[in-house]
Amino acid sequence: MADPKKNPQKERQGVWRARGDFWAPSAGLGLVLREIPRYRGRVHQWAWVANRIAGLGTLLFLTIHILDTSLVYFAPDLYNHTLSLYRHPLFGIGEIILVGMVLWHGLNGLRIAASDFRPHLWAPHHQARMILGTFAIFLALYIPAAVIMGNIVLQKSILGR
Amino acid sequence: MKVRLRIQRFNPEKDRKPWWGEYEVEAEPVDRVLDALHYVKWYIDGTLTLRRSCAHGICGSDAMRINGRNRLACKVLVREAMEEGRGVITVQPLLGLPVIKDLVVDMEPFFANYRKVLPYLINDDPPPERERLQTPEERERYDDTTKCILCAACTTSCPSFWANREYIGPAAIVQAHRFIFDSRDQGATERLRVLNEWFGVWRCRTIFNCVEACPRGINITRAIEEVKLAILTGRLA
Repeated sequence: MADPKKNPQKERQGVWRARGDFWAPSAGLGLVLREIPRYRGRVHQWAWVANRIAGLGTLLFLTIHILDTSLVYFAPDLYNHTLSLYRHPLFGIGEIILVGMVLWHGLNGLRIAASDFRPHLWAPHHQARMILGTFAIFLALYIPAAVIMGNIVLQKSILGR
Repeated sequence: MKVRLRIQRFNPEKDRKPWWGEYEVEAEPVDRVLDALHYVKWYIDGTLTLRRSCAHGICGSDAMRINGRNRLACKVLVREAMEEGRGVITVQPLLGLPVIKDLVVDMEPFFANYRKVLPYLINDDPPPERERLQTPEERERYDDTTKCILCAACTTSCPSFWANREYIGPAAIVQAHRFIFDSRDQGATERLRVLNEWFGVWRCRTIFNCVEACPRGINITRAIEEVKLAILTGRLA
């Protein structure tokens, strides 16, 4: 048996685990997904959540994009068919969302990078203001882009002009 | 005023999962949530288990999640909590640490991370005749992080810690910061090595939940960023 004096903490943990007499939700993505909406974080938490969603969405697009472009080489016919699928209005709307995600992820990343070398900016009130500023720039760039793109989707894919 | 409390309960001898206990107590608006919990324990249900020692925001043993945010129960007024929770005060144990009973969590994983950063003065020079002197500026450099009371409110509010308990956590980084930037200390290299590891400072995503949760008002994210910069540049400016 291990000498409890050598590592009393480990010994104690072992006892706890063996008896199973505590309740511990397993750490991991599940816990984060479950608790993020329940924890009352402020704007900083939501900027991070939006950053993660935008990043994952962009990654998903890049993966699909690399796969479909690789079809040019492996199956040219299938590639042409894939491209015709992309003309569907749903993909047009998806593109509008994609532009939003890339914009937010990029702008928010710039905010963090700009603060990284100036620790005095890492105060909650500074960052809250910077997040709101980033969001304002995001809206200023995204709304016109979304309107132009939405118009194209409407004209080409839905009205067929 | 009538105060409605919703408390997460768990008795390891009876329950397989936590459940919600609802209680109604009489309290003054300027009573603290801790007083309301005491009322429940002393007059309604003696099995309610919670930690508290000083009950005045110094010892840090009554950190818990109140209305979805980590705080010390002895520093939240019933009036504010009732307003915030729209008539109900929800009390849960700290998230991310194993629950031993009701509001008591096993702090060991938290303290294990704390020990990793060597939270004590390291100085191999022979002790001077009197104390090791420091200028007011040198003392000011790490003043903010000396305020930590190790209540774990920050670490258990951090989504990076929820995702992985190996993450050393904001509290341990604050403690490391307190010694890294202390002019009398000589252990910075070793501490920065520990914090530069896979589960060290780089897991901080600047979410700021820790800063919002800290009952001592420590700007934890700034401390973490300063440690990141020290690792990057090798300078302890």
